Amino acid sequence: MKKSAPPLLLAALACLSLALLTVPAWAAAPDLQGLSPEKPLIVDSQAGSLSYLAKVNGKYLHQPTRHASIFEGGKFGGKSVFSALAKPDDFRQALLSLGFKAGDNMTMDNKETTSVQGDELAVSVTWPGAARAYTLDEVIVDSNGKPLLIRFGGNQGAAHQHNTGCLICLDSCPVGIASNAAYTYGAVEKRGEVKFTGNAKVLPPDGTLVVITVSPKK
Amino acid sequence: MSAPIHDRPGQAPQRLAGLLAGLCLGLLAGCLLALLADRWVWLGMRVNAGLLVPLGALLGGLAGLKKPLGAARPWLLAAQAALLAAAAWLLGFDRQALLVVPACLFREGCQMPGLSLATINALLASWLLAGNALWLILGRRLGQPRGL
Repeated sequence: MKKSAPPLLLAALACLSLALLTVPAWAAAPDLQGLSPEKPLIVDSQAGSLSYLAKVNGKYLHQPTRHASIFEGGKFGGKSVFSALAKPDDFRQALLSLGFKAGDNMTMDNKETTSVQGDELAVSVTWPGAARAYTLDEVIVDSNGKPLLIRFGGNQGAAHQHNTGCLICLDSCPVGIASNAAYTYGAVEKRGEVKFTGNAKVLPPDGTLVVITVSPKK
Repeated sequence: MSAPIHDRPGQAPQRLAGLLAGLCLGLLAGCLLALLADRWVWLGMRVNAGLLVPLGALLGGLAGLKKPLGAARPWLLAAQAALLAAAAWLLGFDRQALLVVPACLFREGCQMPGLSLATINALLASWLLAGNALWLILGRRLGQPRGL
């Protein structure tokens, strides 16, 4: 019996550490600019911008993805660098309420030959303790070094139909509310033209709550 | 010819040892398969590759229950070491990636998005350490069984 005591002790210690470590990430989050899991999106009409809450997905700081931000409750919830707490519908409505014009030019038939249109958006990311707000280009690495060109695609019908949860995709997308006009659909998954990963040198660790702000591109 | 009656009491610990060994080997094998699947971006964006981690552990555990893995067979430890090395190679021997990606896959596979990576890493480490330690202790007590 004595010989099996150390492993059992080890298992008991592991259980204890599990209990201690299972604390919600936002339990001690200090400054989230008025955002919270209960109120994940706010519109600042005066500044002409919106901000929403998202969580860093550590996996995509080391693995490639084609999504910048997806609603965590969507079908593709865990597949983006930033798991949004805001829903695509609310995101799209907020953009419309700020006067942004949607491109609504992407379809399933033209997706591989057409770049997304619509107003160009400036996207920045910050978090409690960050030195400043970082542009999306600074926190997401394009393997070709090409700047991201995020446009308000719209896609209300397709977003409802597919329920992927996509807010911001990294190539032109017929489903995502906003996407990157620098590449057509298929550049990441089909043709391998580019790889996108979160910038591990800049972004905070997995689970950190971040504030993503979308404003007009100047 | 049936087994002698005096061998029967040893069957339960032998099965337990087999289960533990299978759970450890299956966990690592599932993890490696999930890593491989997730490297294909098209697939990774469409399916939950992380499911392969608990599935691997489950299948490994079931296989371990069926086969007497009880003894401290060096090849089982070598297989685990090889799986770990292959996973490290796939992740470019990047310590940070090793601490993050397998834990994220496990979290996805178990559908527990609220779990922190520290929690999952503690769970996986204790699973492998305690599982292997218990299996080795039981295996030594039982002696070298036939099979596998």
